[in-house]
Amino acid sequence: MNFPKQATDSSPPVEQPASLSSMVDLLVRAGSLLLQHGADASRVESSLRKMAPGLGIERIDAIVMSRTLLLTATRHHAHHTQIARIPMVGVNMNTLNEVEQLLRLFQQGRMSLEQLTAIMEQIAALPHHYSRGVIVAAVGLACAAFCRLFGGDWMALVVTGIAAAIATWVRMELNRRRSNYFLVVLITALVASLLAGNALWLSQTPQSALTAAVLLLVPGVPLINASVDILRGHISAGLARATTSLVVFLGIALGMGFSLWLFQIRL
Amino acid sequence: MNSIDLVVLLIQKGCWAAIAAVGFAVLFNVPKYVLPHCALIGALGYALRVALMSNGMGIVLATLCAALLIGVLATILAQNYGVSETLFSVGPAIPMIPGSYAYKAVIGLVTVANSPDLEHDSTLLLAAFENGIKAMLTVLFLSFGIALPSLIWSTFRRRNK
Repeated sequence: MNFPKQATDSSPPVEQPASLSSMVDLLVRAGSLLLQHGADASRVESSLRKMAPGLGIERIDAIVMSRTLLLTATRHHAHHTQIARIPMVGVNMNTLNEVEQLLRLFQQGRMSLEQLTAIMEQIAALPHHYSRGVIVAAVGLACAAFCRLFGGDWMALVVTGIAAAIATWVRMELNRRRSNYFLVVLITALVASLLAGNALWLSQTPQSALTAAVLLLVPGVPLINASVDILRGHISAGLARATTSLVVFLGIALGMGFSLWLFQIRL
Repeated sequence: MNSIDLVVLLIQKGCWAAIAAVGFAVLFNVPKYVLPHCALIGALGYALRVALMSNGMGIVLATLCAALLIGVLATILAQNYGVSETLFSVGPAIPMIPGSYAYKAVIGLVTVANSPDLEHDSTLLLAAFENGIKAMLTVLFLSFGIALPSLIWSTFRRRNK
């Protein structure tokens, strides 16, 4: 009898009829992969619940908060509960998709429990589809497009693109050091807006450059997840995400406000 | 002439929105085969919103209509490829988020807190609230519109089984 491990980073040894604790380990691992890469609460909960028949568990109860997962599995009057705190990693649609496909394959009975555990670890270690350079360029281009949508001229577009690209790189570096999220937003907004402020001398529409350059920080996925969570009844998870988004907007406004004051630009 | 101008405007805005949608799709690490779909959905959704708003519709309702379009297209494509619909909808949704309203609201609140005489600056408060309410409702309707088609589809399909 092995005791349930606290951390789920190593795959648990699976006995012939797999123990309840190892199944809970597996479910928590799957749920945390989904949650930390940007799935909303109901998506995590329903993905985990659908696993019950395949694992031979009568009942799975999961409570999904914004950064915490509580999971109880019940089988033959025995039950096992695990509480997991889940670090935020960032949105990764590919990981979400791969994990969901994997769980679906398991439900269809096309995969054993050992295979499921092994492939899940492979998915967790999967590299990003796009290199850092490509991401930096893509976000720069996206913000430049925003600048154009806000009616900026070509010079403002170029300044926005460069400012947003550099700010994206700064944000990646800060995130890699696991800095506090508010600090990351504040510093990135400061960098983006200070660089975009140079449009003041180069373009007729510096406001559009400043507004567009900080848009890379807008918490799009947390905001959408917040309303999806609230609409589907996961109120506490939704409110937590909404509050986080509000704080992010506060950080953006502070960083940008400093640049606006420095360059004496009125929006 | 006026309608031709509008069409040109829609195409222009659609193209820029497509670039923005693909940029954010890359940031969110969607698989490569999804990117062209993201561009198309992003362009159509944004163009629909611009068209509705140029006909006098408010940003909140126009966003809801555009979000429904994104949701329907994403659901169809997701069924086609057998993947989750968020893969297709998340990139195109980002250009719709009223980021400028949201931080205008925050900046407005900071200005209000900073102003020595609120009675004199009460228009600031009003403007901050207007921007805040618009931002909040737009985001709520955006996510609702995107989620609704897949929600309807999944309940409908389950009933058929």
